[in-house]
Amino acid sequence: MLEVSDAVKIFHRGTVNERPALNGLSLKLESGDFTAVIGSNGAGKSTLLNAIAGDISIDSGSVVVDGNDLTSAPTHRRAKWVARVFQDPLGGTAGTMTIEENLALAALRGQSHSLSLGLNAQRRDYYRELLATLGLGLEERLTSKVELLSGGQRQSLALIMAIITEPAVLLLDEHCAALDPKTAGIVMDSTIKAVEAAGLTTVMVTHNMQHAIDYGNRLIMLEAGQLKLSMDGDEKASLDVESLVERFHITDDKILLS
Amino acid sequence: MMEVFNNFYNLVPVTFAQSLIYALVAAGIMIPFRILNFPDLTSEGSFPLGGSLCAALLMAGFNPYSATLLAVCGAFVAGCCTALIHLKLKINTLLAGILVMTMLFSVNLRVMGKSNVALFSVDNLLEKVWVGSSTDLASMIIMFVIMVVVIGLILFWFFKTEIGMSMRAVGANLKMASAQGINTWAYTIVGLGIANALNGLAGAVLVQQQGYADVNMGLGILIDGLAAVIIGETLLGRHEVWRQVAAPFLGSVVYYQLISLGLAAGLEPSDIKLATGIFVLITLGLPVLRGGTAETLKLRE
Ligand SMILES: Nc1ncnc2c1ncn2[C@@H]1O[C@H](COP(=O)(O)OP(=O)(O)O)[C@@H](O)[C@H]1O
Ligand SMILES: [Mg+2]
Repeated sequence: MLEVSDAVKIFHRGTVNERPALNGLSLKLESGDFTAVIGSNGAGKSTLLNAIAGDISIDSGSVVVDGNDLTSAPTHRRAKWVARVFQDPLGGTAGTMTIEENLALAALRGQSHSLSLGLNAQRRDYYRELLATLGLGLEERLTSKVELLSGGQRQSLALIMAIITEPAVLLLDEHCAALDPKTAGIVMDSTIKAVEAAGLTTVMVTHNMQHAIDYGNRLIMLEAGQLKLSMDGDEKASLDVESLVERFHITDDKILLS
Repeated sequence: MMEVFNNFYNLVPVTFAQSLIYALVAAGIMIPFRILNFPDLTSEGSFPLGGSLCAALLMAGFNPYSATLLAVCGAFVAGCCTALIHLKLKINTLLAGILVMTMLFSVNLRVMGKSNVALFSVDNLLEKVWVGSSTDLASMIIMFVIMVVVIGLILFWFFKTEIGMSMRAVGANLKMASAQGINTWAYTIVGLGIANALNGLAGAVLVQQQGYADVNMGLGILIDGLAAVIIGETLLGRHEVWRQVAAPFLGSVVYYQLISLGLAAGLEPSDIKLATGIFVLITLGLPVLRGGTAETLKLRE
């Protein structure tokens, strides 16, 4: 369960560059909720995810995951509960390390690290199994450097890394936006499969309205750092792009075009 | 020509022995530059710190083991300071290293009380370890080879452990590392500590091997070490952990033989630093002049 309460974040407060990013936003996700987040550029979507992950600290408000108040915990301490896939395929993986090393680090997320070897036959078998679910042949390339992978392969690996610990909260920030449409489709399919299989509590930012409608049991829209719309259940299930655009006067080109 | 070769040839064993000590410095430079992506200049100060501390402690009557160990600890702390200055005060990595190294110059003078100390009158590690035998060149070389191989193997193993892999991740991608639950500050601090502990160990062993300590012994050691790392990487590559770890060791051995060859061929000792600097400049700059990026020095700010 994820609960964000009255989150406020104002960048460069008190200067001419003041940028309100979160304006008293509250959001509650039950375990297993899969929430799609839409909103125009600058609405505060990334800031919300950064505030949950710990990459930024909010000015006021709180972030609670599974009963643990994480409001003032640094990113690395939240990693036990929160996992994420960044928009930039280079962001979530260590390029100069091998696929198996990246997976090993992800699998150890939230545990204490020891002076025993990071890899062994048993772990490798497990990683091979997980990678095979992607259908990209990565299971044959455990010892390849991640920097040799394509953007889509790298993002798929980042996805496997994020879900390997079955995190309490999974954050996806436009994680398919940097990929070509075909690759984006493949990565999105893997994402949905993985999230549904494990029943992960997920927050997925997307600028693709069709994705926002097709996937997840909830849909929220941010505007100026606040929740403009929230729908779930049957209401969301019966939604189509036209009615969404019509109802919420979405004029943002970026949203409409994709 | 024959004379040049003879001069060089006669010095090969001595040069080899010393290059094994300097290999520790090269490793202590490789770790921040290559593993942590943190261009650390502290070695110019932590290497003589190791030497000064060890010399002062030996003169104060400490036995060689504890003198060496304490010297290593002192250098470890120096490395931690550089990391903390960067992390806490947000001071650029290079400047943090320059600050610590400059301050260490005064510290080293204080530690020794004067600019150089002769150690001929006290026991040293080399005699202690090689029990029952004289410290002739051959046994010294065997001792140093064992030391270097053991340290190299420990480093290789360490970077394959969970903790060592996390340290590599911190250098490879800070954002990814913290997202995987890795405390990037702690790893940077300890990593720089370990690297400078190696520099300090080299300083401590060197003063015991040569029988004196000099506060200026660190001058130019960073560029020497960097040159050694680059030579090693050119010979071995750096795309596997064992290659990256072995590079400074092999590089150091080759580099100091090259320097010795240069000297035998008539290069003035005072010109060596210029020659080394030009060599490092060329290897780092060539890819850029060819239109590429400075891959070798892609570093954290
Ligand atoms: N690190 C930052 N420093 C300053 N301003 C920021 C920073 N991150 C975001 N902002 C500002 O906060 C607002 C919300 O940004 P963001 O959360 O990235 O929006 P979205 O992801 O919805 O496009 C914008 O006005 C943006 O300029
Ligand atoms: Mg964004």
